[in-house]
Amino acid sequence: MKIAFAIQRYGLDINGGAELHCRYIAERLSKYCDVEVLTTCSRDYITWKNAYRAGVERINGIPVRRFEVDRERNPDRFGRLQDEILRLPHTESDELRWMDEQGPASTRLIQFIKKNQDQYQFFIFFSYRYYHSFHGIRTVPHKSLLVPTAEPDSIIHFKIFKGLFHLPQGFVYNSVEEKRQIQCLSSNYQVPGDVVGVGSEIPDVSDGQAFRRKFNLDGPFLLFVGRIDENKGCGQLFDFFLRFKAETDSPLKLVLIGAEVMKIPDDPRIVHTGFIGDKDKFDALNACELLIMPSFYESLSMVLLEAWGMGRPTLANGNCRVLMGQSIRSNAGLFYTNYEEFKRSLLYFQSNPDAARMMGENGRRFYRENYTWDIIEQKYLRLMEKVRN
Amino acid sequence: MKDVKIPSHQIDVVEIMKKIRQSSANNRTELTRDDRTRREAKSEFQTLIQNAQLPEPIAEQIKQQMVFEPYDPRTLYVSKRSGIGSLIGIIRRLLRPITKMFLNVDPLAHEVYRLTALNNLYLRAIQDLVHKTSALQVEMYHNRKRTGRHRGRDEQRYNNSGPNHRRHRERTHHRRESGENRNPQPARMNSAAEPSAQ
Repeated sequence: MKIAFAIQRYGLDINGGAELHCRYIAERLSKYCDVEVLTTCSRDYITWKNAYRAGVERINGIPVRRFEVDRERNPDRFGRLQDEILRLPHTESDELRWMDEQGPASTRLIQFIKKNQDQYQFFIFFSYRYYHSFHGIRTVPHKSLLVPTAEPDSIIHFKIFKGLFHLPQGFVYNSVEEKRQIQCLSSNYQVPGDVVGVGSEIPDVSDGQAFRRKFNLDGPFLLFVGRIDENKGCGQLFDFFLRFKAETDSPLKLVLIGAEVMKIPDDPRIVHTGFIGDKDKFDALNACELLIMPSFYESLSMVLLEAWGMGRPTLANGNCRVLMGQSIRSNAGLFYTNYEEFKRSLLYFQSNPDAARMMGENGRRFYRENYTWDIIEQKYLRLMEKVRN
Repeated sequence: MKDVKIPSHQIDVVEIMKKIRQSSANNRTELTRDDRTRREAKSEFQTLIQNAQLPEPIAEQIKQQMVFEPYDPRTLYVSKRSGIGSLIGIIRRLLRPITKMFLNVDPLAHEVYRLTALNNLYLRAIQDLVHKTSALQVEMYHNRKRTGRHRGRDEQRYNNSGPNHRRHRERTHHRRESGENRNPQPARMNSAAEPSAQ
């Protein structure tokens, strides 16, 4: 069996959620079937500028076939159009124009799929909202599986997607909430799908002290891992954390791991390590009291799962249904919707270390029962089998 | 994935969150209504900004600044370059009639000025609306709490009273429901339920 993964960007140096997710799954499924990745030459998700060479290269043993994008995205023009479409009544042709502006528009990629569809048994498309998925699924609906990676934002309400969600032969959802959202919006109940998500390589051994030594940290700390961005809820996190510190005598610090996109408050109680490798990340998870996930929009938080895999409790933004749902199902984390709940949740963790430890254990069990690679791989294979039959 | 909760060592995050929310609600009553309204309004406004997905610098400006500086059309001709800035400004002003022959930006500048003023008005109106909505929410919360307290107290009195009292009260209530009032004196139970614990 030969399957193709179609994704907007692909590479070892690309750390976007969906892209990393796709790479992990492609590498894992290569044990069972011939896998190829179809992608663009883009590296930058703002402009989609062609940065890699077109053609075939191997990444971690997987053949990756790259196609040039027809044109770069003009961020200003796209921003204006999106703003207009989101605010004003609009037609489907406006939405199609939005899709073209958004990109990454690569007609070569779509033509390749059309011409060579017989070579592949399945095309697994990642991220419903991009050009490659929208046009790719319409080209080969009878061989498509979709991993939507949908967030509960306004884009998913576009009319063009309602029809799209009926075309694939199967769905691989990231969470129960994502599945409910897509089914409610499009009524595509007849399309088979499973909630799968993604696994991670949790190390057997990690060294929290090494992380503390490396970044000169002492005392308990909260950990945030991800892009430090207003869109990830970091602005609210900083407000809440500094207010919490002003109102209580808690010794907690806030440690941030990830690229800085917004300004971080200049405060000694907030420590930014910058972008670090996986080993340091797992050492940090080992050393922290709990992981915090302040994002308003997530289709699945890989780092939340990693924290649970490491036996750490979590505190998540309860305004994000996915995060709240995951926390309740795992029984491994609390969630806040305002400052009072944020503060009281942190105080609860501080004054109930046994409960925090037990939540961590629940998280570890939840991870093992749902997100180990064996389980993820089997779910993909089962879905493909079901669709084939 | 199983859509069920894993049985665990007596930990239930939903129960914990209920308790946290309850204690948070109790704490809120200790604040004055004004404080609470201000706090709710701030939180609502920040959520509004967050959900609008504005570019970060603009979101930050809106959070920090109450009112934007009205756009000054004269700045079209001003240069802030150190040293030669004033000279550039003079040249621009001198060349203005010639520039105008090709492109007249003056109406645009005045329109931007008008839009800034309007935006300030909208921003204030939104802030005002958020504040008023929060005040209403706080008011509703207090009303609901008061109603709940009254209901609870009445029910308790009803249950604590003996069967004779209960029968009398039910008879009186029935008469009132049917518009009949043979006894002009208020029933003892009702008079006892005057707000004493307000």
